[in-house]
Amino acid sequence: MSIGRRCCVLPLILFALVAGAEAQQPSAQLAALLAKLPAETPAVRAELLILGVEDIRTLCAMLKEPGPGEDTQVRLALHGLAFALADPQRATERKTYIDALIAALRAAPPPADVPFVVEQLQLVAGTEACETLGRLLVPSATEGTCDAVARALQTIGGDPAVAALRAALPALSGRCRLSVIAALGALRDEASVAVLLADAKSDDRALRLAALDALAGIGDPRARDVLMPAAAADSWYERSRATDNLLVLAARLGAAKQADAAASILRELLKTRVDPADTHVRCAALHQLAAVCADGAVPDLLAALDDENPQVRAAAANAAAGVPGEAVTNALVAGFESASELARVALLEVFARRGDAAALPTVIKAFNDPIKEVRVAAFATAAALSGERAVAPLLTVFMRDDADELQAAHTALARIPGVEVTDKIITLMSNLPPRVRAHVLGVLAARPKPSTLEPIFNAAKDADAGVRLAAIRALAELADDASVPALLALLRGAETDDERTAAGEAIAAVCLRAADRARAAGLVAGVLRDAPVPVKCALLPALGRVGGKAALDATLAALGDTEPTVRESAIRAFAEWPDATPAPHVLKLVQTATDAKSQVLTLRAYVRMIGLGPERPAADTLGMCTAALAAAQRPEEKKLVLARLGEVKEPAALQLLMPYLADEALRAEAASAMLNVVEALIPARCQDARGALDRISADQWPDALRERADAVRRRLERFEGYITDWWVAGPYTEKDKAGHQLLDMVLPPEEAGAKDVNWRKQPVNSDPESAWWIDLNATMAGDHRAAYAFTHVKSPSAQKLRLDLGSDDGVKVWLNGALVHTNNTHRGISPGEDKVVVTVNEGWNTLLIKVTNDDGGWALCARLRTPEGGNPPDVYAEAGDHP
Amino acid sequence: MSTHRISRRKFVQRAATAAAAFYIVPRHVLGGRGYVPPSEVVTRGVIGTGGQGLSHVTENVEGQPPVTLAVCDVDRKHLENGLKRAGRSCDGYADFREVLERKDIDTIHVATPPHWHAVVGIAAAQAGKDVFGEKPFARTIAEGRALAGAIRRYGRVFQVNTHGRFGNYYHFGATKMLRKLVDSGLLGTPLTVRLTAANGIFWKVKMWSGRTNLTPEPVPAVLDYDMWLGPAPSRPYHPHRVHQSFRGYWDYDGGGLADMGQHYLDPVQYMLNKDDTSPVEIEAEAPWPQHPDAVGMWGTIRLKYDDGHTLILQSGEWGPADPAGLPFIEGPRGKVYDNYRTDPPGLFDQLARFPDPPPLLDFEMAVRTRKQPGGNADVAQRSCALVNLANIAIRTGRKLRYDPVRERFVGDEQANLLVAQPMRAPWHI
Repeated sequence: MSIGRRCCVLPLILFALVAGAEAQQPSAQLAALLAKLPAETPAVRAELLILGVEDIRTLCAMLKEPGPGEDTQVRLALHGLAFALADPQRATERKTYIDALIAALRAAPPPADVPFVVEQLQLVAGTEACETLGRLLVPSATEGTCDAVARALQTIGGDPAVAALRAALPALSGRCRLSVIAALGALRDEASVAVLLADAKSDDRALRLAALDALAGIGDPRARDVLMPAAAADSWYERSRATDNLLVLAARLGAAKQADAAASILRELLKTRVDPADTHVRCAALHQLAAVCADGAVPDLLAALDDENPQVRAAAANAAAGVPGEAVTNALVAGFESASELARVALLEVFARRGDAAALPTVIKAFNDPIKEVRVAAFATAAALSGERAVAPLLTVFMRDDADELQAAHTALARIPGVEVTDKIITLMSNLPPRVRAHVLGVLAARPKPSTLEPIFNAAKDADAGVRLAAIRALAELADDASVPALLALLRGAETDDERTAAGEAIAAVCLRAADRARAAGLVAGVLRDAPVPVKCALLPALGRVGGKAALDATLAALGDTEPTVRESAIRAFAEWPDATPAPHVLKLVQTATDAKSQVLTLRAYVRMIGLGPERPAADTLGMCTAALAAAQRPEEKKLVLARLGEVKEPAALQLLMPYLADEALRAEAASAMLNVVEALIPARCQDARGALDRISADQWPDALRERADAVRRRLERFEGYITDWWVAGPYTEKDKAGHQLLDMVLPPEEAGAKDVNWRKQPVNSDPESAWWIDLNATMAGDHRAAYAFTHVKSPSAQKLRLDLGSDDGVKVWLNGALVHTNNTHRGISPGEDKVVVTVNEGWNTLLIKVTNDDGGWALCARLRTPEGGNPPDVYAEAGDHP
Repeated sequence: MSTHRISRRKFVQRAATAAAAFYIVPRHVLGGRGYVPPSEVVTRGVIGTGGQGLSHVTENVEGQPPVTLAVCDVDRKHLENGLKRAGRSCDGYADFREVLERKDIDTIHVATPPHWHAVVGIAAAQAGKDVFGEKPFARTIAEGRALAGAIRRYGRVFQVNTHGRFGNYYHFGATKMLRKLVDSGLLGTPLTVRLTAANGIFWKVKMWSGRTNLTPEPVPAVLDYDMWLGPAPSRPYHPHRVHQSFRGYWDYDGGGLADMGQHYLDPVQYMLNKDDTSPVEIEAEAPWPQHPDAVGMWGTIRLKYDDGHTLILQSGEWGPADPAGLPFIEGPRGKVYDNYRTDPPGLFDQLARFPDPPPLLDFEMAVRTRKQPGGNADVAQRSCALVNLANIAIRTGRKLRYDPVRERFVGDEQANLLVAQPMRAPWHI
């Protein structure tokens, strides 16, 4: 080049350099816009949308390679635009954006992050970007660029995208080639089949598998010839993948109206994959066959419904249920008559799932199938298929005697949705024989409430006793508190004891549901005093279930009734009381009972009430148990009380139970109850649990409980002795350092003589179940940090001890300033996960533990045991003074 | 009727129940060569033994048949932890495909980050394994549908690891009772369900937010980063992108919403009897624009079903928040608060007469009986879709309409690009 020319060119070069440098600096307006991102209001979107091509190109030039440079706002802007410009009314702005990104990709140098720019084009561009993107698919392209471009072209699709991929393929190898093959397969480029067939025979496993995947996806019939041998590969993984590709190929062929070719592949799989390990393949082949051939697959499905393998039968049923179309339903219906019993049951379920009413006549006919299982399946199907239309046929089933059929019809009718169906059932009911009406009333009890209860109240006065009883039971489910007077009238008019009992139960159920339970109970209690004896005996249990002041007053009054049956009913009412309010009265009855029966009834009611009242102080419960034990005369009742004592999570309960270990008749119950208490004390009160267990010698445990006692002892050993008195310091963090990277960094608490360490007492976990570990998140929560825990350990002598540790996450331990343990791990807290034998000095020792947190929970547990795992005598921890 | 008769005893032994899609299966029928009778344990291979994954590793106790036969992780340290936890009779692998070669493994526990869930789950189904998968079910709606499709196609059993529909729903009450209450109609319709910070629901939004401008670091020698990435785009390594905090990056997960969403939303889908559908309108209040790589903050999300039932999710960590004291479920005839409190009072006491919903099976019983468990793939896909729909609304910054049948957005093809996202080769669904 001549000097003169150089002189002319040089200013141009300089100008370009300056222009390039200036292009990386945003305008003041653009800079101000970037500073607003991300925005909390939509207004900024409008500002972004009016950016011109130069601003967008500037943004692309401002992109930095992934690294320390700050370009977050730039990426937000470009990415935000990609989404905002999807608005169909922004076609002009979208074109500006796309043109700018394309120009940026074509520029020299290209943007610092090409994949990022490509990914924005993927979101918004059309085929206008394909040529530029295709140019990036060169052997020298990075894997990231290749991957991004292939994915973008796959997303854009269309002939230009396919052409760009196909043109690039010959020169590419390795990961890049795989990316392009995957995209061509996804875009179903038939013109690539020849190349892919060659790659499908490659020794390179990744290339071979990618080519097979692509060939299957394209759906060319020639793929069968390479897939079949691949599906016989030694490698189970390759075999599975090739088999799946055959299924994909079959699907593609089916979609291309080559059903015969597809069916041939699938039937070949069905025929050859008979090993039980290939059951899933046959299932899939059936599924695909149904999808491809629709009613043409019905003979295969019917045959499969009779297969020895239940999974195959299930797959056939699923496939038959999933293929739409009346032709398929008709074909299945046509095959129903000649199918086996097993297949008929399956087909009925299929009809229900298909929901095609064309099957209904066949289903109704199956109500009279000679096989019960078929009949039962038909009821459910009829209900599912035809809803209200199934009601009348199903009601006829109640004329039968078989319990299973009656139950199935009941369930089917109960599940048909809709109040109008309930009303229809009621309408039809009136013309049916009494035994059927009784069943129907049972159905109504399980259905949504009808529009009016009057027909049911009328049925409660039916001439037939069975109908009356069924109606009263239905009212128990359906009536509300407005019906209480009517129910009381029913009770008074009841003709049999069963009806009176049922009416009483109905009244109780309604009162319990009432919005104003006290008022409803008051209504009932109000009629009690002047009611005839049978009515009183039916109402008292009802009042007992409802409870409340009115019920209690009425029941206590009934204890003074002249009729013994009424008095007994009153006693029995306490056996169902919903809370422990009457307990003092019941105890008095226990203590003043004059006959054994009353004594037992009242005592059992009292013991039951001991168990009601979880908020009652333990001391009061223990007092009740003591009173009950004093009153109990028979072992049966004493056992009940001992069981109640086992529910009290207090050491004092153990003291009450202890003497009964010596009573042969009660030993087992007392021991079981004691184990319940001890178990409940772990881990919150290990010392109390230990004290109790140690007082019981091994031979005091009944044989049947010895194993359980050992298990409880092992559980106690797992949790007891963990140190809860700690100083803690932290949190310590370091910029860009993860938690696990802090474990080996020397931080102030590790440094001798460090000052300005903020030591403070760590609170014990408020949840007693978590008493054995300390929660560092409670006081200094967060990810990627470290903290220190410090305490003193006193030992009566120099000795070897075992330090049991658990941590979330990493842990480092110094004993008397010497490092004794490190575990840079990532885990949840678990007691004794690390066990380290250490040597302690006589007297006081210092224990410093560092715990790092990567994320989530952050915790520590530590205790000292003998090397054999026992409790070392006179060894204890105290935080004392911090360092 | 058919002349093809079998003995009644054989029929009863082989008959299906009316409701069952699967049949009781003797174990030897399932497994063929070398398989053991149904009295033996269900064996497992655990893929992913960092963090949550380690909890899937059952210790092989001396004197009892081993349960965990294989553990797999792309991080050697996590793999060591997994082997240590399993103890005896367990092999370690760095590539999940080798685990799938094992004929003696019945179930695969997928405890990888979510961007792997679909790929590994589908491969496991192809290999004839049942799958116990971590939540969220899948990173995208399309991945979830592909996984559910594979499970269904191959007749496998799948359970997602969230159990709220089985027991109590936090401090509100038993999920079954809440479902009965909704079914009973006592609350009326439509219903509003509030999953808000004010109601004690913690969304971990800030906790699982990603970081921007990460400076790439050398890949640790213990980590096979290429396999860690798997189907996710190739990005430079940084420790915050992996191992727990991956939750903060769209490439792998969806922030706190994806971490906790299925726990909170799966039981709600069940309560509302919406296991087979999805909302039709979704909108979000969140900072805009969202970062292309790092998951950010959000305030309120509303998801509305076609019958008018509405879910309100509120993080309490950004934007305005509802006050405390609003009902958990609210309908025109009744409201539900915490601890079974209702307005009017005593609504739960009226439920005895209504039929219980069908009982839910747990995973192990489902594997043995070949019936679908409570959190099966189809229902998991639907509850996870709520999470994905919400995140798409956050990312696009606009109100979206959704077709639950086609599982695509209506009139928003760009949003559909987030429904189905191509994977990094050679992985695909």
